[in-house]
Amino acid sequence: MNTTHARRVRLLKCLLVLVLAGSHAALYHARAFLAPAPADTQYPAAQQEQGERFDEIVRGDFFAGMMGDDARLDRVMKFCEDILAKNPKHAEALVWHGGGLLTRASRAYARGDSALGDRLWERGLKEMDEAVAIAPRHMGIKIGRSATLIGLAQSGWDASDARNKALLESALADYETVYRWRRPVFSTLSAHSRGELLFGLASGWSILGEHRKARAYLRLVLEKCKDTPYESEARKWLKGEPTAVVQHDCRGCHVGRSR
Amino acid sequence: MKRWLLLVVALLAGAVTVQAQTIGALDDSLEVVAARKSRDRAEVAQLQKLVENVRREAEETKRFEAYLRLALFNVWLCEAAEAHQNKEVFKQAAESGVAAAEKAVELNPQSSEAHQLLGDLLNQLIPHVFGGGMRYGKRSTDELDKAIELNPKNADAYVSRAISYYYTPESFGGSKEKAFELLKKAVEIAPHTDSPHIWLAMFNLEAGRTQEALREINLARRANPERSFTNFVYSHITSSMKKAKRGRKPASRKTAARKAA
Repeated sequence: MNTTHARRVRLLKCLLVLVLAGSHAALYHARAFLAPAPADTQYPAAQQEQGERFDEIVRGDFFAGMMGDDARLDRVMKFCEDILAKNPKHAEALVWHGGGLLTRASRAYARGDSALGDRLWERGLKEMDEAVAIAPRHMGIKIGRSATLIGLAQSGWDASDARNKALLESALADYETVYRWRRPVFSTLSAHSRGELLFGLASGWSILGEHRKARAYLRLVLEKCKDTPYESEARKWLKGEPTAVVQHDCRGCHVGRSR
Repeated sequence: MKRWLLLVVALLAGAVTVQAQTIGALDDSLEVVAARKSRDRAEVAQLQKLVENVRREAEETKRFEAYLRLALFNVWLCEAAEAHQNKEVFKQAAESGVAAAEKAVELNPQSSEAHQLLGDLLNQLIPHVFGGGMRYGKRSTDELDKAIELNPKNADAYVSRAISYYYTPESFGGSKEKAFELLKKAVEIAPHTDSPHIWLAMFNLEAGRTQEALREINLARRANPERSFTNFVYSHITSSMKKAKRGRKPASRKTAARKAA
């Protein structure tokens, strides 16, 4: 093990959950992350009929699943699969299901089953791509996919891999679109929402070697997240090595390790 | 009675020798000595040749020891490649090393060294693969825990696990405290090896404890003055000490006058 390697391993085991949980929920809802539904809650098909937002129905189980609760992951995956069986173009079900497949892929890799892991991984990414293609103006779907991809890139990156470079670029383009959409009300969003979006952009661009862009977003953090921990974190990065890859641990992540 | 006693002693001595040969197979052979030297000097081409030799040997003999050595040489090749910022060689070495270590684990699931090398190489691979943490993080940790469980005296396993603890966020099981604890444990087990001291030096430096960092890196240099990784960390420590000293230097009369003006 050596120095640079170890530094880059900084986010290694957290990655997706932190970024996805933090950015997605906070940005999309512009309010605090709701506590995940208890495991014994009746599964909410009825809630959907009552018009409750899809992400609010599923996210508790998804994040619990990402943190290791297989029963809740299975339950929510089945919920999405039932919806997709009726409507294969249900973009929200697709993006969340894609995220669930990535979680299942990580479980397969942990067991040493790389073949299954690779299959699930590819399917997960494909479903997320499809979801954005089906609903290109859906902010929640853009955020879900982008946060996942930026989180994955933070946890490991091969600069020579053209396909993953394109994935990250598209994730950043979508995040910038989200920022544009939210700009008129940006100051009314929670500090968490503002900070996670801007840090996601700073981090993603720095991974791609676009350090000027990354620093521009860090400076935006100073302006838009004044007097928050995001401001001091951005200041630290701006003071440091200008070509460093910005690694950001989601602040105030609402996903508990166990429930 | 005496004869029995002698026999027991002889058998014990034989057993210890056999065990030492098995464990020390990695430490004592000329090939291992040469590879370690190449690692210390960051000689990528030389290490690649040695890796190729062992790879052929492993393919021909299918022996556990050969795969274990192949995994170890790949770890060292990663270190040498890193010194030259050669990402391509680094990634290839980590991937081949993982494959070799997996084979070693398959051939001898009770080998702590094999699990340690697998865990370490998976960790090496993480930053070079898209989503590497998600793919290999958990497995790497599991392998290192297994290595410690199988041999609580495996100092390398404590070092690798400590690194993993240090760089994992707390909410995901990381702990800087635990990292220091495990490195100190590694020092207790193997006081004369350099690796635990190098990492203690680095972590102390990051914590702003430069004197402790210097003390640790000097212990590492005493153990092995030739390792370029050690010398890299040493230069890092001394330069940050110099910087700190410059920062503390009282302002010259000229500067003070300028400031006053």
